[in-house]
Amino acid sequence: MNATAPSTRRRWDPVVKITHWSIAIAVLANAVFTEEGSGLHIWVGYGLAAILGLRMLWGLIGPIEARFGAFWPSPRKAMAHLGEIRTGQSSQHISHNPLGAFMVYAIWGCLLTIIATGIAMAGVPPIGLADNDTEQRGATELERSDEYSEERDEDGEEEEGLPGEAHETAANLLYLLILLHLAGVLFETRRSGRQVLVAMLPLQR
Amino acid sequence: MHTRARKLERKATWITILVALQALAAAFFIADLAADIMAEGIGAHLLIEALAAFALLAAVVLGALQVRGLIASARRDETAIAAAKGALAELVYLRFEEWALPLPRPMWRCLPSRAATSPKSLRCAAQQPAQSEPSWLGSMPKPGWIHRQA
Repeated sequence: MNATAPSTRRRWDPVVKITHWSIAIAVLANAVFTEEGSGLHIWVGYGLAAILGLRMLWGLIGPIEARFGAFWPSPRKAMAHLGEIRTGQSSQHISHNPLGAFMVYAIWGCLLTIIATGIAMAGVPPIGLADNDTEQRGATELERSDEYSEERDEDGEEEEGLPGEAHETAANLLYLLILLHLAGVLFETRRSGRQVLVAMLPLQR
Repeated sequence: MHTRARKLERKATWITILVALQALAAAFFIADLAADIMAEGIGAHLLIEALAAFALLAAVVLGALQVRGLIASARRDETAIAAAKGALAELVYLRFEEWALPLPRPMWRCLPSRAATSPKSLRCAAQQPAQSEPSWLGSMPKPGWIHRQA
């Protein structure tokens, strides 16, 4: 018997749930609440990178339903799933369904692009701690960050170059994917039952 | 045992929160280290900082492995409970069969179907009339009927 084999009922483990909601909060924070290019925006981005790194690690060592291999994107399976939707059939999936798998990898791809281009643009984040040297460096970094923000405001988008363009395009694509993800979850909940939705809720067993 | 599985899952959740915080701290230290190396180059002080940052990364990996172990234990416990419940149901079915009694209606919902394990014996029991069936059970269906429906 495989000790990590899940039950037939879909149920996400705490690592999947916590990383999912932390990433959602970080994306929301950087999209709505933080100023683009500000120190806080950069730090939230670094935090997001750390949490995404944890989810990537979990994709290698986690329980079977959380591993990459459990929801590898497959066009053949996705077509079969679309066929099921057309004929009104519903089959159980212990991990993401084949269409959901495509969505997960697309969202991760966008997040990795946003992180990589963000680091390329902002470099190391501003830090102002401990000794005088670090404080001085932190202050310089913060000034640099503020200057960067001002430059952006004055010169518009063209100053950002390729990383800036890619960062913004990936962010806009991410928002679109998030909307599609929400629509997909609602659709699948109506089709297959509320377990799809309930499985990811933070306090649900 | 069911409580133990819940306790293990709760523990896994708390350790996951700790691991996530460690991952955030590791990102902070690695970013700080990168900034220091770019500003000052590598020195003895930064080497120690690098060691601390990588120790934190190792703690994240080990923490994640511990969470996986806890989740596996919780699931093993749940499987054991399910197996134990199945064994109890089997015992109840056997007793009712031995005494040639129909299964009372409220118990249909409580016990898992035995049809998958040995439906033949139950059908046989249903075909033979009960030896000393109490009058109050006369109107109730026989076990075989239950499993043909299941």
